[in-house]
Amino acid sequence: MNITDAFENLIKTSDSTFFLECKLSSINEIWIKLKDLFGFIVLNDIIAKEDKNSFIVIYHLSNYENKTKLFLETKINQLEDLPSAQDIWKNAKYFEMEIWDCFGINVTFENRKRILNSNSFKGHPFLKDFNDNDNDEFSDDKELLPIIEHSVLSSKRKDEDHWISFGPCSNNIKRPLQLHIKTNQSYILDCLPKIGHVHRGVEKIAAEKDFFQFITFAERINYQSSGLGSIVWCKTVEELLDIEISDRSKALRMIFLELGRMIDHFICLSNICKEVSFNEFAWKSLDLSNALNNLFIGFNGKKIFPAPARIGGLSNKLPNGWSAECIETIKYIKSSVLDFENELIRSRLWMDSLKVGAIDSKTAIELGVTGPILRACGINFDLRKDRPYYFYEEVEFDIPLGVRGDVHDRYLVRFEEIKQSINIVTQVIDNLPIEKNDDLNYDSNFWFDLEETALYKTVYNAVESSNGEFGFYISSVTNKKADRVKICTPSFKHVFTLPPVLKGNDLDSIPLSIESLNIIPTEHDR
Amino acid sequence: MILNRKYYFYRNILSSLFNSLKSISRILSAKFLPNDLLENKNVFIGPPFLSIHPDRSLVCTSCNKCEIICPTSCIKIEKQDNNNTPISFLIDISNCVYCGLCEEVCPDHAIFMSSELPPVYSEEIDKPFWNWGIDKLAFRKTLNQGKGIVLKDGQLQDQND
Repeated sequence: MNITDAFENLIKTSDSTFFLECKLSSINEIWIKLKDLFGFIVLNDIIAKEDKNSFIVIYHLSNYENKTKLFLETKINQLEDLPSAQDIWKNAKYFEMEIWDCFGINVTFENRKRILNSNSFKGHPFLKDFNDNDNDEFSDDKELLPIIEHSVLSSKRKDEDHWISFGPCSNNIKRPLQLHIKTNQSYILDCLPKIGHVHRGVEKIAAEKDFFQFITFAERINYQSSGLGSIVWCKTVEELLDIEISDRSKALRMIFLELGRMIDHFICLSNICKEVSFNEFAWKSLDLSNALNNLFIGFNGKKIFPAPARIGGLSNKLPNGWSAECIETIKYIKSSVLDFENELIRSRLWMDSLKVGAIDSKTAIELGVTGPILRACGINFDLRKDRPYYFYEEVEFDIPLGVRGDVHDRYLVRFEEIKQSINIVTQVIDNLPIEKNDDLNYDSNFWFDLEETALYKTVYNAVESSNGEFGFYISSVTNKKADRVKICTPSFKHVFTLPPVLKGNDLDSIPLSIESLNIIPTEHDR
Repeated sequence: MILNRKYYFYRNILSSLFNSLKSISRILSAKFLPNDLLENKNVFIGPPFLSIHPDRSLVCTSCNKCEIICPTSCIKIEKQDNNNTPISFLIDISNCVYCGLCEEVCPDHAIFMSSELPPVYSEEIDKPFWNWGIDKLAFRKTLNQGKGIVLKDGQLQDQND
């Protein structure tokens, strides 16, 4: 049966995107129908927004077989209860907790827990009439404290189950993230990740600032991949305002995305090397990421948050001699990457110490995992091939796949992706379009000359970042400001793969597993 | 289409030779032609400063574009009704994130990012320390020994002149 015949009010907005509106009473049947008959087995996100005394809830679903996505929209009153999709998609639990925390939508009773804000927080901060006066600046949160009653230090028998807490300030985890772990001797039985320690409400800031101002904030969502946030944000806004950018800026943005991906993979690789005490390789890969950072300094003088993209083009013209510098850096990286591989491939110790933290493909799909972690389990899904943007259709590159889905496979996938990125950059820079005078390039006065008019439109746009699908959902009121912005980040889903990844392993494997998942706290906390 | 896909399928010896010659010439030409990269290297982006005319008056014409665009809203400009030069120009340095949007947007080249170190915690930490006025933005001691930096024909003058 074809999907267009099954639903009457289905709208096809583009080749691979469907839009469906349904009533709350019939939503449970539609979920089962979509998953069982039409293969929408992945829940990417649940987006909520306020709409005059009622809420709109949007389910973002993906079909990896046909490479299609579907937005299922439903309207819900303030007093009505939203049925849980937890039995159909396992990761719906965390998204439902998020929409209750932010908007106060009545989800099932067991999911009414704080996930981004602290437990002592009063009110729902994303509502338009939210008042912050009820909240004290510093309030004690008992949930944040380690569980002392069941600590290892207490006088209990050795073979009994214990609860241990790691983080948020710990030299095992190295990022603001808390783990409550249930152990028996040194084996992990269960794990509860707690996030929200660096929650800043970026989505609320995005609705207050205008599109041009938010470029600076968007760049700071993922601090490891340079240039990623600003490029994706500008791409989404350009689609919203129907702005066509020149071929040259498209090609340059592609180069910056690939350079950012390489930087992120090198930092991740160096973290993995540090955990297994391969310190020489850790410093080597940090050196290589530094060499790539210098290319961003050459472009606009900024190293950490370069923000190379602007709405309608790039922040400045390509400096003389930049492409030559880029070719030389790529040449240097290619030769050192080959040396790197030859050294590691022979090391038995390296392979043995990385045989932990496996995740199978079924669990990965249930939890909505994307990016290198999904590919390490053997599932071939990459947005660059499946829903190509810019010129990814016209360059040649391969997608590496793993088999077992453990740390070693993730390392292999990331390493092969670096080589493919080198491939892409050389192909694009060989055929870089010539600069023309009639190109619509970025001009600082463009944004001030634009008149503010009403524009009611919703756009979702995503790219394949170094961690997975990274996208923005914007629903606008005018052509300068958004009503609601939702940031769809890969790390939010990857944090909740920690329980299946750690279960059955030794306590020693915690830091290595976390580093190989490359969880970025500013991404999942937003 | 610029990245011609067929080009890669039908690449023969001559075309690949031509392609490698192109990249070699690009590397060679970069060594003789003027190179912008050398200017950008070792740049440190620090707190902003205001440029001045040779008669020590501000270049700024209070068009308020930087105040509108600043993502953390740390700039505040006040002007007189009949005169365009600002009477007060305040930047809250503790809120500045050094993104450089104000420099990009300014039509008169009145505000620039300096290459100094950002201010650190000190014992005199209070509101006036973080809120920098015109005296600190244009004539602080680290900028050309307190004389300020002069703008001529849209170009910053060398400090030794």
